[in-house]
Amino acid sequence: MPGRTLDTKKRRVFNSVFGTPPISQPTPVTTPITGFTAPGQAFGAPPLHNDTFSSQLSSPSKLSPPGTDHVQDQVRWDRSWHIATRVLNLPDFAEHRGVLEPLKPERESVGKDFYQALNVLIYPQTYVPLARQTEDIIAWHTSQVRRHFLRQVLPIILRLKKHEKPDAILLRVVKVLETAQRQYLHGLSFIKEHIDNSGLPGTSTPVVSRFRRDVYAVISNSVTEPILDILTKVLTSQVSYILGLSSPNGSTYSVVPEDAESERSRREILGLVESLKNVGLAGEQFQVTFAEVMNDSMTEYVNRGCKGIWSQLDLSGSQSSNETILPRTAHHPSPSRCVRDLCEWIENRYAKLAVQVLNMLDTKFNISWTDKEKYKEMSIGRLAELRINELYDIVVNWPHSRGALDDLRTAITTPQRRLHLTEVFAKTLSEKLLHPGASTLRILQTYISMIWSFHALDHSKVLLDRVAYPLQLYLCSREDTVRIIIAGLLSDTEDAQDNPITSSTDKLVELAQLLNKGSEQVGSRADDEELDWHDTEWIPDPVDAGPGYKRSKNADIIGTLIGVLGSQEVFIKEFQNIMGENLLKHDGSFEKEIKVLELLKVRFGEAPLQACEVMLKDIQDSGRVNSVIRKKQNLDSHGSENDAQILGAGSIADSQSKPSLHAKILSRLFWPQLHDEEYQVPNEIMELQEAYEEGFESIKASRKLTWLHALGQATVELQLEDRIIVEEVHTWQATVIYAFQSEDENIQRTTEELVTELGMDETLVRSALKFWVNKLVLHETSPNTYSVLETLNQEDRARSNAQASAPSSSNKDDSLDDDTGLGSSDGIGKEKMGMYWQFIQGMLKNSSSQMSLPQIAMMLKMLIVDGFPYSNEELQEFLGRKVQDGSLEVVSGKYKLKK
Amino acid sequence: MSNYDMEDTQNSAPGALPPAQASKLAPRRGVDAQSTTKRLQTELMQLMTSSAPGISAFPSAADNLLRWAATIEGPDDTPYQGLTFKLSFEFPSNYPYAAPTVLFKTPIYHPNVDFSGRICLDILKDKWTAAYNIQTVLLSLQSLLGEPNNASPLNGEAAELWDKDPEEFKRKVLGRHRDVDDE
Repeated sequence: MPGRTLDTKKRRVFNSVFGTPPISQPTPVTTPITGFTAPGQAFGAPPLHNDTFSSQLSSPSKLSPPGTDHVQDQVRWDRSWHIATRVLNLPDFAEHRGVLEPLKPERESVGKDFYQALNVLIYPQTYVPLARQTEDIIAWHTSQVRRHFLRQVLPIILRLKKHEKPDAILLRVVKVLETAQRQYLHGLSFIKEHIDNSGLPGTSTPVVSRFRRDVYAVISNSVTEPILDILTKVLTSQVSYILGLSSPNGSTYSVVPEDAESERSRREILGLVESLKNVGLAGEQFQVTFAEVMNDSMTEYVNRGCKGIWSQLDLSGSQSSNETILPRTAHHPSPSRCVRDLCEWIENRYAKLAVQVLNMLDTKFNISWTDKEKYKEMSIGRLAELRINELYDIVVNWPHSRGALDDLRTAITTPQRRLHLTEVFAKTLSEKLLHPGASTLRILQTYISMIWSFHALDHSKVLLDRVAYPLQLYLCSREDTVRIIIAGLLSDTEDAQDNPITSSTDKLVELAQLLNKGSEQVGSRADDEELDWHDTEWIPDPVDAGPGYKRSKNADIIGTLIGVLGSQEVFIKEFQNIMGENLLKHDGSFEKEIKVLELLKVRFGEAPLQACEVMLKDIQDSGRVNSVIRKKQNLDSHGSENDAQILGAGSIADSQSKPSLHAKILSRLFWPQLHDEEYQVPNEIMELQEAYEEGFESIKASRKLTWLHALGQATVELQLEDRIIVEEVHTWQATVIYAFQSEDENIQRTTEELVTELGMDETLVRSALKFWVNKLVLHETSPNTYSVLETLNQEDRARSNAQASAPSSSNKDDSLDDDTGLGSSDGIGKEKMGMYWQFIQGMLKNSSSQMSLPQIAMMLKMLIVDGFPYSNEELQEFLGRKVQDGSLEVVSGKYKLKK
Repeated sequence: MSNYDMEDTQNSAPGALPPAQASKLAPRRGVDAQSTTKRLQTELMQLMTSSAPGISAFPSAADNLLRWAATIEGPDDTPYQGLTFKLSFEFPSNYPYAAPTVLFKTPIYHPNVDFSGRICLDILKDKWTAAYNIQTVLLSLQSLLGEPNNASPLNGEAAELWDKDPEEFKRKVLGRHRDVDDE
């Protein structure tokens, strides 16, 4: 290449001395087009260049006959064109051309004839008015530039792209483009100068700007596309440096504070934008790219700076700065940490960069410093979106996620966002929680967190109501909901060492804590709140509150949970059941139950809880009555204590001491239905019971005792050959082991024997046997035959010790508990059978003459006020009995009344 | 922000909730509906525990207590002896402060019932009080079968025949009676 430039240089020097060889003129004075040669000129001979030309130029008015003038003008035009274009012809573009290299054509090399030719070309009307074919020299130059650019410059740029780092490529591209542009403008500058010299001042401006625009268009159209990805890369990395989003250590997810590095990047990017603008690459495409990069980095910042950061702001930060940093809409008494950080970041870094860069570009929009408020609101929107997606986890982490809720509260300002929030949350909720895999306890715990969290988010409960509905519905389908809630209410809030239990895996301790705190006032404060003129915290009802919206200031967890259950009757009934169970199972003063009962009375009023109160009173009274009777009947004897519920019987004692019996006397009408098993109590107990009965009847003549054998507790002391076992067991378990009491060391008993002898249900016998086998008291010598394990071998002893050291409560929690649970009896009880039968008859007679099992079950569940606690299988069995006795028939899987 | 680019739903949001929820939000109506439901549940319980002979009633579907179906057996010593009649009850939402709409579903030939099953009975119209209930209505209808009010007949021919030609009346009753199945 250098050789070639040298060549052209030489030629130019030569030409400047000797003139351009006329032979190279494509349009000689005499051309075949004209048809004639001028008089006195030889056909085809080289024209007398200088003479003709200058004379023609100097005296256009002297032009003679129209025919020849026309030809002459055309020829002059053509020649001028040739001269000018040859001079202005762009040289080849050298890839590694130095910036300082002079531009061609050099000004000194341009001769006078060039300017004369330009005159003709620029003002054809004046100089060659008759030339028919004229063209615009500027348009020619533009198109030559375009061609030149596409043929020579663009390939260089595309080649650059292949090998080099993005930012280096970009610099090179910019450089190449600058050089090319200089070249193009240089060519134009001749024309411009000429116009400026010959015409009115300022006439060149539109010409130049049009040219510049055209060139920019060419460049940005052809270059932007191929280098767009590079541009994006460079912008992304620079912007992320400036905004502190780069993570030099790879995985550090934090925001880098402003430092020298980011300052350097800032300068770099501004320089880059400046030069891009100069070469015409800062067009719309660039702006779009920049906007995208900025947009992404805002999301990135929100993700990085705020994701999972839910803790609350420590209020040491200066409060005063809030006023200026937070946007107007985000002002709030308790500032949230992330929102503040975000706004600071926007203010100090983001908006600064955006405004600086955008101000350098010619955009249609006027970006000013005040636009930062817009950015802030946008970023808060992003934060809201992030938090909304995190909301489920935030809720689960309550109360450690208060900060996140503050963020949300700041950000959730429009009904649309509120709606969006509830929609997203409801969806997550149903995906993550409302499925069979989640335990009812977990659902309830989450629900409690939800109530807290949403209350913190929005005191109005409107949001909560919207998301809680499916949850409530789902909870209704869980059978153990009520039980868990009540168990939670009744659970211990302090462990054995008086340390508060904050969470538990099997109970809703939270409820007990709430109840104990008593901070939740119940009442109708909602009604008079409107009139409370002193309430400085008053805010209007949320705009999206439904009709009938009622404000309520506190979260009222218990109230809400009980509300879930539909009616308080259901709740109270279950409470009664569970309390009854507790009262029968344990001794003591039942302080907890009394307390819960008192608190529930505050909530529900006295009347609905009357039965519970009677139950408590029964238990308290029976303590007194018990001692009176025992004294009277001389039942007090020493020996292991047998604690029988009123109707429960104690049992076993060891051979030396006599058993003793304590009873709890229940008022039948006020207790939930108690499920009893009939069986033969041991004779000793029977005698005690009779004596007790006598004593009772002498005190309360009008009343009669009925014993519920299976409901008691018995303390059993077993003396075996090598050990003594003391166990707190169910009475029926005690009865079974009592049957093994014998002088005979090797007594063996079969299951059948026990069933007939004790008159006890076989399943009960079996479970009692299993219980004692587990306790290593009995062992199964052959199938269904058991004998006492008087001595333990080594291995068994180890097991026994291990058992003893395990908490004794766990022993009672085996599968047997359910057998004595209140109300949970097998099959459908006789008392209720009649009523259910009425219902079934009623529906088969009136609603639909044929119904399937699920339909009937559904009807019963929905229509019986107290609920229908039986499973479909139990119902099926019941219906089966009705089919057997001929009241019903089954037609193609559906039940029908027999006529 | 495009996420929030939805129409302003502040007014329609509650409407989008399921009806059960919606009714919860509208207490005045809700309280009424609740007390109506409660009343009907109580009545159902009553009917089931102490049923009068020859009448029975039950909700048509478990999820809507406001529609019931009922059955009356024709009283002995009347032309309707041995026949059963189905009726439909439709309760207004302010029941028991307004009378239910009662229709005979089984075609019946009776002076006070027209051919589409509408009944002319004062306690179902202006004499209704909240003290009446499903059972009393059914008992009244049952006695109406034996003692029609021929002074204000809906079926003139029947009213006439009742007095003039009991045989023909009975024939018409049997001719018109037809067991209806469930819809």
